[in-house]
Amino acid sequence: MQLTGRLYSPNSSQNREVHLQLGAEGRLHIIDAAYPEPLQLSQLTLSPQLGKQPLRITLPDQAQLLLEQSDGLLAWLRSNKQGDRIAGWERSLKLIALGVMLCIVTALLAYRYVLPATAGWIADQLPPVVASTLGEQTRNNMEKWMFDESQLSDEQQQAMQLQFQQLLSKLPELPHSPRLYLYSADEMANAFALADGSVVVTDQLFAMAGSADALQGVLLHELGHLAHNDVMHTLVRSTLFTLLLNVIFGDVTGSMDLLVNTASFGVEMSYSRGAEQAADDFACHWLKATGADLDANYQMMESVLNMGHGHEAPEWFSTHPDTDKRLARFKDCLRQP
Amino acid sequence: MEQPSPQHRMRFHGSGGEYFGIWIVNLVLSIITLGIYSAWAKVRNKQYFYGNTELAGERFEYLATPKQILIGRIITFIAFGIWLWSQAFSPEFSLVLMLAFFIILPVIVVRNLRFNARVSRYRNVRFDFTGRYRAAYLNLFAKPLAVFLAIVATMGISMIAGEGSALAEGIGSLLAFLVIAPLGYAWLFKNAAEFIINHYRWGEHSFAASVNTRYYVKVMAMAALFFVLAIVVIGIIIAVLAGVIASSDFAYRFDELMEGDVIGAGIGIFGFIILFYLGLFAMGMIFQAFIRVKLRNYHFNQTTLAGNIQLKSELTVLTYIGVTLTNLLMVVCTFGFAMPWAKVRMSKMLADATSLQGELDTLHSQNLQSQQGSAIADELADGFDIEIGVI
Repeated sequence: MQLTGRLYSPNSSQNREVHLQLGAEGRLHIIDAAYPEPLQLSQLTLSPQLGKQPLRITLPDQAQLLLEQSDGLLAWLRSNKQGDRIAGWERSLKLIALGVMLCIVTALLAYRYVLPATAGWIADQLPPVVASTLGEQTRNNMEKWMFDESQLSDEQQQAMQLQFQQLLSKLPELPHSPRLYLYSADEMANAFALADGSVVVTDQLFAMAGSADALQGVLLHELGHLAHNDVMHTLVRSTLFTLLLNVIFGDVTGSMDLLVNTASFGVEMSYSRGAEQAADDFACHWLKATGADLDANYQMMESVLNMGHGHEAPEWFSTHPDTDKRLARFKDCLRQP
Repeated sequence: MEQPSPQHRMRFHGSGGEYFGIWIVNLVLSIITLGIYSAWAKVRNKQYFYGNTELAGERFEYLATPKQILIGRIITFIAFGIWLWSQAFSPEFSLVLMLAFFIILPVIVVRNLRFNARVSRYRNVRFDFTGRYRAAYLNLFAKPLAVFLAIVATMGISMIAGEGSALAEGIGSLLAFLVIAPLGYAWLFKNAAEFIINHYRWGEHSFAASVNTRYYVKVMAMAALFFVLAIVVIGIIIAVLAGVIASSDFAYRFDELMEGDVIGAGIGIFGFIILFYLGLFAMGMIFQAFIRVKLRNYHFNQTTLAGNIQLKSELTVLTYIGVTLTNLLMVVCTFGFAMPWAKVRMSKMLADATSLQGELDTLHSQNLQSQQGSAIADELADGFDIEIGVI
């Protein structure tokens, strides 16, 4: 078969039009004084066949041959086992459709199983010093910026600590040895758990509970987060997710950054809704197992959850599941024997 | 009589449909190989975009090998991991890392520019970047440091000389942030642009540009003016909206709030917040687009190749915003599957706005060297989102 191409001298932009002959057994004959002998296809370097771009062939002397893609040329390359297999895939509608489905399935699987499981595994492998450093740092920052010393009397504080220890003694062993920290925060009734096993409770929450018994549900909810190592899981998971998105969409710049950030924010929110539910279930289970005052604890949970209701965002935007649904679930759980 | 020199417009021949196949195969193979194939994917991507960019009848080529990219990627991945963890666990160590990073930044910039230039080829002749580390440290490190120190010194002197008077401090701050900072920044931009453009080569031919500090000051002043205007406009809109809510709806909402039906009130507040963020986002986008477009055009229009071929860029801010905004919407609405079309549209827009004027057909060149170097700096710059380059 006869073709026309453009031949560039080695390392130079000097070029000329040449005719060439595609022969049997991979012989390529350039009809040009500089190439009296036919060249063997196996000696040449071929560029990939991308879209309808011309094909570039590097000759042994580094000269470049530029050829338009044509069915004949591609068939000749294939028959000499030099076809670009990936280019074949890129042009097959069936494979493209399969690829799209595979991407969707992979994304769903990764979101549902692979990412949380991998992150959980890595988080659980980390040495305890990681969690303790992290927790300590967070506590230092909070003491600096958000919280003051607890205003509760010494007796009240001691009673709380004692009750916390009693509660712990009834639970199976938790990953980090939990400690209770009491702080005062103006107006802010809140409780949360940190990576190193700290459970933080504000005076204002204590005041809301009225009695130490009614605080058990909230404490158990936070201990649930500790039992599931949620803080470390979240940290590793969001790190992994950001890395993953960067690998996939790595060569995209500009406004795509915003997209990636929004996506990881949304995904993180949806994961933590799951974590909140699991912590509720943990609290419910141990409230029943330790014979706590279920009514008082349900009421406490209800008032804590309804506190921020005024500024409630839609469910998809929130870390905590929709309050009513969550309370109903909690109530159901407490009712079950 | 002098013949007008011919104008060669850049053209992009790729299509979204065609590229979709390449993109999806890249994605699937990258997933199956747990990211390792992404190095091959990057090369194929680049080859597609370079190979479809045509100037005066001939196309560009991308010559990096997947192995180079893979090594760069692995090193960047490790560095990125260390950086993330240091941020979380040891602020001191992360500070040391950041300092070290700033110190080696000029080296990374030079190596990145050099690698990218050397793996780009047109008419069988490679580009090159010949800037040296010394000049890079002068223009990208010493001069920025000097500007920073000048700002700090102005503040310090006004504080000491004014003996704590608020007026002296105010004058010092105004001088530092309204005069020294913008002028210094414009001057730094000029230096960086000249350093980068004047060290690009195509084979034996050099690119050359001389830019003016005044132009950067002008662009910054216009951007600042836009910013102030936008804030005024947003302020007016918020005030009007607040007025509307107060006059018609608010009493009703307030009742709702009192009766405990807080969800209705919540949605109002929530919508307000979303509106506010959208306004902020739009402002940022226009601001960024304006500066990008103006500087790209300026840098191209000031640049010549081989002494007599003039580069030209005629991008408009409106086109740029139109394309980036519709791209963003497309990609969001399709969960990312419209990415190939978005990238192709971007390339088409840039190519359409770019041209060269001069006798390109008779210009010949040859390679002066053939070494490529490693892709580590290239991948580091990608991984840490360093924006290098003047186009």
